Amino acid sequence: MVAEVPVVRVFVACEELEYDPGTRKGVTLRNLFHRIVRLPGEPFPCIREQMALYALLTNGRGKHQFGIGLFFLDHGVEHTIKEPVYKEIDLGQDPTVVHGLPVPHVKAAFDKPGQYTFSLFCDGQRIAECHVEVQ
Amino acid sequence: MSTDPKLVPALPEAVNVLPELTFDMLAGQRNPEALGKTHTPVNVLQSMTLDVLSERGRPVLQLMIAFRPEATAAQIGRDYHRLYVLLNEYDLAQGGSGLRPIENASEGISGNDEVQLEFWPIDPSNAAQRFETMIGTIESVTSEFESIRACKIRVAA
Repeated sequence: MVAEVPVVRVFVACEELEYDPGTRKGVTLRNLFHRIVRLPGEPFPCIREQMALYALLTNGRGKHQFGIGLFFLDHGVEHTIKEPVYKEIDLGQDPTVVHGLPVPHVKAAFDKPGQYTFSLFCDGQRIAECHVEVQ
Repeated sequence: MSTDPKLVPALPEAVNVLPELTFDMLAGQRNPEALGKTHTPVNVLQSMTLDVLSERGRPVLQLMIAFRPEATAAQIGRDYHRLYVLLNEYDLAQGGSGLRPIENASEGISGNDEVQLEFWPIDPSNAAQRFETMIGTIESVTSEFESIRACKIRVAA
């Protein structure tokens, strides 16, 4: 069994993913965004109760451990907010297949304003980043 | 939908959607009440369009001009300028956005010492109809130019 880490073509944040988990076809991304803003009068820490991430992967083969981590950039120094929790996913053996990787339920809390990064990991290797600014 | 019969439809390849990942910092626990609520505002701009086929279907106004043998360079230059201004104004008067001269691959000179000039409409919509209506008028007007012996105009796709 050959295993090749996939190439990430797209990794974005949105409010919601729409697709049929049964057929797992035709993923629609609703309301792409970059900035998470506290509602008026709301304090830090704040919470984004529902958002989603979506990745398009190509050139991958075999079984891999995938996970999502959250990081905070503070004066150029990256701090880990949450380490990735890994899940094994089989990409099959055809590297020409384009895979969509949905993360439909993302709940995250933020202690302070700044730039946060959702990172996609494959076998412990960071393969994509999605930056989100929290205000 | 393409109107060019030489182009066959192409569809985006279906994506194989993998099993879901989840990300929950609270690990399924109830949200602490003290956490501030958020939203994700985005200002959606006016939509843009990209039609790469528009250049393919854009008509071209082709002029084949024969100059009088005795015409001077100054006369030819002045008449060419008048002709371009005339064409541009006709297109503007008919609701177009004017014309853009385009480079002629054959250098624009025929064996009969005729010069071929080509113009693209800046606004391609209804350009063919605008061109057709201006052909007779322009041919007639150019017969009065000092340096031009004959001017034939046609619309090419």
